[in-house]
Amino acid sequence: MKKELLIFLTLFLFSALSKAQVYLKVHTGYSVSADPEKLQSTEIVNNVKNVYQSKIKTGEGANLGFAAGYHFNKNISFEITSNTQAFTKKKISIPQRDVSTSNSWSLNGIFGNIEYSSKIFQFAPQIVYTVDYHKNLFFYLKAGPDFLMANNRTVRNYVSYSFDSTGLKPHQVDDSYIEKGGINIGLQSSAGIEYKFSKKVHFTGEFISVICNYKHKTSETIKYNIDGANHLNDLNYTTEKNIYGIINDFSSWGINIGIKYLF
Amino acid sequence: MNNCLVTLIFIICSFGRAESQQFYVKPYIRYHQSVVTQNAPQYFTLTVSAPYGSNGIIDRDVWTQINKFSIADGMKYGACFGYQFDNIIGVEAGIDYFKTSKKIMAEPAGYAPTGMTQWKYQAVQASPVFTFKKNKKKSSFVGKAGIIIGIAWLQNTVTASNAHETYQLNKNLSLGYTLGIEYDRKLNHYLSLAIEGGLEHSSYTPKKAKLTAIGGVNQYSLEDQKERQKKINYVSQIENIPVSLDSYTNIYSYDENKPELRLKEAIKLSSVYLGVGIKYNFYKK
Repeated sequence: MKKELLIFLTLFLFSALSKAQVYLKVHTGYSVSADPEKLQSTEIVNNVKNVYQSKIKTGEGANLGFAAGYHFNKNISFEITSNTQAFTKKKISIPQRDVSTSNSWSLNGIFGNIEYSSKIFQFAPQIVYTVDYHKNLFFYLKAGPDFLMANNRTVRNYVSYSFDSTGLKPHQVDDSYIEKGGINIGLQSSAGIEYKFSKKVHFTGEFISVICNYKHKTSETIKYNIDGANHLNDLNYTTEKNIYGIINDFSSWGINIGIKYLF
Repeated sequence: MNNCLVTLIFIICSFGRAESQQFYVKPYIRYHQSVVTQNAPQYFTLTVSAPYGSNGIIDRDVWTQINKFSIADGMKYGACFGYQFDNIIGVEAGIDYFKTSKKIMAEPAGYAPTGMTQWKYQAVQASPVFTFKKNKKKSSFVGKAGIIIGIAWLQNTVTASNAHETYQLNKNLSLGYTLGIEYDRKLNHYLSLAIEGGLEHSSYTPKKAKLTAIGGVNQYSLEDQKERQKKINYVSQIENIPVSLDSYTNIYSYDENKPELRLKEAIKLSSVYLGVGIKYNFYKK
């Protein structure tokens, strides 16, 4: 009796899904940082104050990804979207004056040249709601949790100062560090249009939104040169674990276009 | 006679056309829950007097650093007008009012007095959206996507060591986007119950602030405050501001007769929402 019931349930489920369809999709596009983090750098030299503002645009870059999905019926689908980004390298330059000959000075914040980039991978299982409009046009909306992993790499060139018998002495510092974290969870959602090119091939265009804070767990200094000489071994430690806790905002919005193939 | 006939025919046609126009109105309420946090913006600095050395007094800046800050939680009340081009696609334009009030203690700082911050944020926003829906017998699911454009303003208060200051930040543009889905359940030919959920993202960046309240030990009255204390301008960059250094206290002082200059800082409002409304259709469904 139990065996017959199991066969009956299996056949029933498959009959209900007889119109279901598996699909694969590739996409590309570009996302911009929704809320760039702002850094403030203050210099007071010889009683004149300047304050500079720089923006850190994490989550911004060219999108490359693919998705696998399953149409339960004409309106409801389940899709797992994965995405990485290219062209994430950004540069910031904050003017740094030579204060070694100044009567009075105060520097607070980051100065010099900073280059940063992110390697990200994110995947998002999403529910998709589709409505067909006329024969070849569909509108869709999808949303789901966004699982994000990111490594940030930062390269800095700046001037640091030391005191010796002659007074204040400038030193050129070049350092580089990598910040890593585990999986952080946010929210991904999109609204888009799908055009049926043929029975198997559809073209898609969508507006995509990612909302996600990313907490880095470790930071490792991989380069530390002073006036061209390697001083990495002079640092007490190069990896800070479990005490880091720096949070970057990887929220972004953008436009993706794609090709969908239905099996 | 001919003119009257033409006018009458025009009126009848217009009435007939209006009857077929698929307009609707929907008042609603929504609850918003924040989904991301930010470092709290530092819109002003409260300074309090503290002992210095053996018998001196020094002004100390109150510490107001908050690492996980968000004021995107709260209730929203609004109404929207919608128009269905056909049974599937339409447009909707709503106007709503959002208000939230929060008290947040700053992160502890070892050497500086820690401040209690209060944030009262209000916004009036319009949300034009594109809609697409699938109709069943008595219900329909509506997908929506659109922009948010509105006016927002903020009142910010910091309290520490029996002193407090309140600044009113100016009304400024708030821009963003919204995505959502709505379930409509038909109650009769004209009325439907609408249950909706979605997400919103917007930001507010004030340009000016004005001191509206001050109090505490050793504080002058509001009217006796200098221009630098009473007004703040938020700018993109601060250049070549003359300052003078007190060699005893090591504190910089500025021209007290000009408004203070600070860099612009934005408040981000990212939230998911759940709402309910009543939809009245001007056409018989």
